[in-house]
Amino acid sequence: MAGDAQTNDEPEESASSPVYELKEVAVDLTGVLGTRRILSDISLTVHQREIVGIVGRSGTGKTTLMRALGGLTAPAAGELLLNGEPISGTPEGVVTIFQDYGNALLPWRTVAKNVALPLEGRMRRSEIRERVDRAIDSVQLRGRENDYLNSLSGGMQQRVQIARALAVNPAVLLMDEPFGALDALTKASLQDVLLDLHSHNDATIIFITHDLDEAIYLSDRTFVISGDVSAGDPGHLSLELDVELPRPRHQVRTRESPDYLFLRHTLGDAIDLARG
Amino acid sequence: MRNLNLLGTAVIGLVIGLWEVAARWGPLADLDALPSPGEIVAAFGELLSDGSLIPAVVHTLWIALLAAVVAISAGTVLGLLLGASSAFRLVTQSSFDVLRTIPAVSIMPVLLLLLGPEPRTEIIAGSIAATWPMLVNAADGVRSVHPRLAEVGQVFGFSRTRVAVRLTLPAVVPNLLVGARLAVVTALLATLLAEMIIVPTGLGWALISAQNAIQMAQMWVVVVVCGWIGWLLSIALTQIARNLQPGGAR
Repeated sequence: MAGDAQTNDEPEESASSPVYELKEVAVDLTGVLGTRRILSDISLTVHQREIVGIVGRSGTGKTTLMRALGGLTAPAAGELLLNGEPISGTPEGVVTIFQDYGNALLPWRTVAKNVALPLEGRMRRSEIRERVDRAIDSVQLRGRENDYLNSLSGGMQQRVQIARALAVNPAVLLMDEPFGALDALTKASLQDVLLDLHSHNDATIIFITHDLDEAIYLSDRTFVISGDVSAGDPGHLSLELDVELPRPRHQVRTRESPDYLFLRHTLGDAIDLARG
Repeated sequence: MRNLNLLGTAVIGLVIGLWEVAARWGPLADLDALPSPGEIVAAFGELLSDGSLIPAVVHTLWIALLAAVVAISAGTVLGLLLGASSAFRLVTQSSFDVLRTIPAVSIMPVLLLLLGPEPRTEIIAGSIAATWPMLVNAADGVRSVHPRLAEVGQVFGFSRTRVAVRLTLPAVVPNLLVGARLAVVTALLATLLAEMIIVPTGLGWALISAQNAIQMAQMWVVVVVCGWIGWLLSIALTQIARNLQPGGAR
């Protein structure tokens, strides 16, 4: 009903080749308590330019899934293909944006120098400057490029991390609860910064969130991940939801449309929101 | 000088004034071990004009500086290795932990017999004492670097060397600066002791000889000079540390 009731002004992209293909992927992590299965039987396909949200409670292995996609953790079983090739190590063109920007940024560098980090030694200085300028513009941090991070708000610091990722022109952006540590208003404005970036960019975006509204507002498709890793129930995908809301989306109007509310209802049921 | 604390300075002036009054006419008049500020200033003039103070200061500073340089270099290298390599840590950590607990003064007589009453011996004694704070801070610094930083390097395809040079090392700089500051202060302290025990020179020996000659005012001159050196050193080191930490202390 959600998909039928509206006109879809974006062409179907099912014809494009998949960026990620996961077939029955399982991931184990070894800690002090021995090896534990964190994720099992994860199968999903992500196409180019898609925005895919993964939503789930704490302890369902969301972050582990993101680390596997980014090549930071190797799968224990199944097939994890990026552009048709198995992932080994951190693949080029795939950039992870971490939730804890405080640990992921370099406080001894200015904003511009932080953004330049991945480019240094790989291209001419003039080209670095050009790319850094463009990335800083696209996250609306112009004027702050010579400031150190300690004079920036949390939202601004997360924008620096996004700019640093954009500077390498990534094919895939993996975002691990990117706005989780920010207040609601900052979050909303960064969501729109991200959507605006994506509207003139070819990057595929996969993000994790525990915020149902964020998942629906941003994504073309949302997956629900369920399980309870600490109780021996590895995380698995329990729902796939097509989010066929028109773009560009609007913080107020999109969120009050009947389709949006229907999707939110479905998602809330799937994640058993009423359980508290 | 921007933040000159007028009230605090006035308190110091007041204490010195009271001391002067008390030492001349008050309850301290009969206490020979505590001369008045006026007598100390006079003795300061004497020590300056007889040419014994300046060479002593130069000797102490020079030995302390060399000891600090040796200690900072050795402590940084060993500390970084200790923090970064679990194999090195496994092999050496226990030895370092035991050696570290030996008070530096206690090995000075041993060093004197082993190496003779040479400035070299003083430098070695000072650097042994000052290496520990440097080593401990460098090692802790490396181990407290958040693992996320190395993952950022991984995401951008950095080699291990590049991660170490671009990410880990700059992240450890604040710890290195703390270690270096402690090392300099420790080197000065150990040098003063070495001058009393190993080679009779410098401010350390000036203190002992003034005491032996019951020259109370001269002894206090040396105490005050040692205080100034410590104070100026602390200001200089704080300033250097500030300039080496863009983006503020962490």
